[in-house]
Amino acid sequence: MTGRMAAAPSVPGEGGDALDREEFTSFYASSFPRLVGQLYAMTGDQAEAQDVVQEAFVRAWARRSKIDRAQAPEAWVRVTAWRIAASRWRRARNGARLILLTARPESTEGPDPGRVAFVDALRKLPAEQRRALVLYHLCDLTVDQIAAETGARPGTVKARLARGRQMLRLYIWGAATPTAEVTDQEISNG
Amino acid sequence: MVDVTSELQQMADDAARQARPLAAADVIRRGDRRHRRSITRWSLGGLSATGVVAAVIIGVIALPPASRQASHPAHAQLAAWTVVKQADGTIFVKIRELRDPAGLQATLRADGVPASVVFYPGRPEAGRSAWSFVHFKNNPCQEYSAGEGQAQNVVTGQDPIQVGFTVHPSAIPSGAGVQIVANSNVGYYPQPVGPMALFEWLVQASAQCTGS
Repeated sequence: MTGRMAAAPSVPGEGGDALDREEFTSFYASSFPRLVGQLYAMTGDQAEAQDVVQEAFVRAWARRSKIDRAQAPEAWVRVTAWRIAASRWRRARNGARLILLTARPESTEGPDPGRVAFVDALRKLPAEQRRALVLYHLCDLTVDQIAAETGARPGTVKARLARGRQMLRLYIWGAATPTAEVTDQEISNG
Repeated sequence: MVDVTSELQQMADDAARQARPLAAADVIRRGDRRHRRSITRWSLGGLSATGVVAAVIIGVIALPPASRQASHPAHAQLAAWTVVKQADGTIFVKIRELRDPAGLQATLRADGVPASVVFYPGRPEAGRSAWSFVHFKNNPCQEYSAGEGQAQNVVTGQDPIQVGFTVHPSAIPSGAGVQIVANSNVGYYPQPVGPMALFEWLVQASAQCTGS
C-alpha cells in the first residue's frame, strides 16, 4: 500500500460535541439506507455495502467521543465504510476482479434494460472512478470536497470524473471493453 | 446521453429500499463492547507494510500497588518505550516500537504493576480483528469473568500511539488483571503503514499470566 488512503475520517479535536445515544439512534436511522445506497454504487455489491456500512456505524458509536456533530458524521461513516471495503479488497488477491465476477445484478437492478446496462458499466470502472462519480453525482460533493474525502488532488478528481463518464458512455454503447482493473494502487491512493 | 446523476440516484434508491439495518440498540451494544475493549488502531512508523506482525501482550495483575517499590528511576527513557511512574500512582506508558517486551514487563512490575509482555510471533489471518489475538494458542492469560466494562478504567488514553496510555493499578479489581494486546498490520483498517491495535481486557490473576 502506498500513499495515504484518505484525508477523512477527519476526527475532530478532543472535547468535541459528541453524539449522545438518542442523537446517534436518529442519525443511524436516517443515514443508514442512504449510505448503503451510496456504498452500493461505489462497490457494486449490495450485501457488501450493507455490511461495511453496518460495521462503520459500530465503529462510529465506539468512537463517538471523537466524532463531532459539527464535523459531518455521515461523511465519517461513509469514508470508514469505504475503507473497510477497500481493506477487504486488498486482502483478497484480485479482489476487485472478484467483485466484478461475483456481483449479482439480478438482486438489485430492475427490469429496465437501461438500468442494467448502466450498473454493468459502472461495475467495470476502476474503484476510484466509481467513488468519484458517486461522491459528485450522488452525494453532491464538490471537486474540492471529494479531494478532501478521498485524499486525492483536485486535478486527479477531475480526471477521474471525466474518465469515468467517458468510460460509462463507451461501455453502455458497447464501444469499449474494460481494460483497467481495480488495483491495490488505485484503491490505496484514494 | 447517459444521465449519470439520475441513474446513480435510482440505483442507490433501490439499494436503500432493500437495506435491512440492525436495530440501533444492537449497533450501540456492539459499539459499547468495542469501546470497552478499547480497540485503538495505531499507525506504527518504521514498520514494514508487507505483513510483519507482532503483538504485545501486557498482563497487569491486581496486587496492592503500595506493596511494591519502583526499582528504577521515576522516568525511564528507552528506545522502544517509555514508562513513567507518576505522583498519583498511575503509570504512563508510551510504546514506540514493538521491541524488548521483557524489559517493559520488568519495568512495569517494578513500578507496582505486575505485567507480562509478549511479542506474538504469528501472522493474523486475513480479516481477523486485533482482539482475536488474545485467543492465540499459547496465551497464558484468561479473561476475568467479572471484568465486563472495567478495563477502560484500568488503562486510559485517547491516543495511545501519539500520546501514550496510562495504567491505573488502583482500578484493577482484586484477583484480576488487565491484558493489553497490541499488534500491527492486521490489514483490518487501512492505514499508510501497518496499523497497531491495542486491546485491553481484564484477566484472571495467575502465575502463568504474570509470574506471580
